[in-house]
Amino acid sequence: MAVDWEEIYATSWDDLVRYLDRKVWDPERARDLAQEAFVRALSSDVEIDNPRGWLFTVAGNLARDEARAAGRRRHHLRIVTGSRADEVEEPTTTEDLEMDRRRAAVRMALDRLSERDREILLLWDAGLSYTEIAAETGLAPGAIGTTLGRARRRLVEAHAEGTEGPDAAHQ
Amino acid sequence: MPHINEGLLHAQLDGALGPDEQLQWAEAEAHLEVCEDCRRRRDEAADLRGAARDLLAAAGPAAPAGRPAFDELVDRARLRRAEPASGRKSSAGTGAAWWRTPARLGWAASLVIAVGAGWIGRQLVVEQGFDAPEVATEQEAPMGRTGRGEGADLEDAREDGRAREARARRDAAAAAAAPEAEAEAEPRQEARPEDEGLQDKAQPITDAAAEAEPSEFGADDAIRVQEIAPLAAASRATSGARCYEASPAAGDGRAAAAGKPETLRLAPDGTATLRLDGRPLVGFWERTGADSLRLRVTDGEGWRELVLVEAANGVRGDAELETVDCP
Repeated sequence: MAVDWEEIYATSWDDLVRYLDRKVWDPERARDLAQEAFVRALSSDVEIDNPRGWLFTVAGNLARDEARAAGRRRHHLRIVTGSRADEVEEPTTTEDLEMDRRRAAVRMALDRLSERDREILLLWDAGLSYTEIAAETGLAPGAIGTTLGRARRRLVEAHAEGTEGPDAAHQ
Repeated sequence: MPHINEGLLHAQLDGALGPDEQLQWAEAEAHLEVCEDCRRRRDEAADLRGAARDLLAAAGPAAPAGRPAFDELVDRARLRRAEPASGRKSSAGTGAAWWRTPARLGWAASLVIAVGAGWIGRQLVVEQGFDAPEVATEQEAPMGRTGRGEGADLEDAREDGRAREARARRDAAAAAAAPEAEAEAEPRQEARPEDEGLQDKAQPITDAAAEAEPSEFGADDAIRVQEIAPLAAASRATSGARCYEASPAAGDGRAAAAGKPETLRLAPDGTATLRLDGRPLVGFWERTGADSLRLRVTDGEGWRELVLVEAANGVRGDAELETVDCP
């Protein structure tokens, strides 16, 4: 059965970019990777059964490769310059500053989760159904609720610990 | 009725109850009427769900303004298709969970047969081969339009696989020369040279490998099975395994939740055995940081990945387990 990629593009683009942004933490790069995932889908020789799941899988792999390459670059940079490699441009407005602070706090909390917990949260956040998340992660559909519940708790606790000190989450 | 499972609460809040869970929920609703504890937990689950959603939403705009025209992507795809086939890999990541991708399996392939997951091993042998195909890669090239990412994965997988095979052979030789010798590169382990339990436990697994019918595999694969035999010997001879168990005291009423590991054994040769919901799983572990470990285990159907952080008295992370003496 032919896949209506135009329809999928219309309905899934925002979710896919959002998912990728939470992985690479760079909206423009997330957009590039989302385009790449769609181009791969459109140029694929094989029949794709679950187009939306396929897109997120390919996008997730692209983001992982991206992070790995970025890690190598950062490491290299640190050796060469001895300076912080993650310096960013100065934000220009109070809103930018506030957004950067919020993003950094959420990113730090997500980084403290296991790969599986983080993946399930991001897929859920991108609007995938339990069935799609199960297909994506290889978990049984019946286990998604349990894993997602635990991941939510860990995210909230990690965020509280990061922003309010180590005791906050235990109050 | 017992208290309501945490997963059921979250699935109901997400509107994601399957047919079986719909039935469970009908019972759960009646239970909620009479159980204040479960009402409190349901409210807590709803709060967590809302808080997690708010946090992720607060992490930035849903999407940057503007998206390319769909036709533009179609044109790019058309150009891509016109490129030589060697420059791309059309099936990248198709339908695979992240721990099922060839890259993830490649490094494990040489050990899979040894731990008795024969049919998976065979699948790997037939579909992937033990060595990933040669793919030209550039270490520092930016990810381009030709699937460099997968190339790098295959490269990594191949290196991992070779390193492990080499290590397995070295360990086997060391074990033959001095059966009590500790495997090298394991500075953190507690030495337990008289750990007979490990040897007993390892027996069925390694015997399964030794008894693997070469005729089940192709000619080349039979050679591979023989190469695995020293590894099986190494696995029997090594000691210093670390063992963990779920502690009932550490449970919080949700200890029986699906997917909860019960026991875990990490052998110094990199193999791991795990009991999950009463089912045995086998696989591999590796150290990813000073106190962090990654496990990949299979039940013969699929692979799971667990990330663990070592604590003073056990491990935390995907499994909350206490240190115990190995049986």
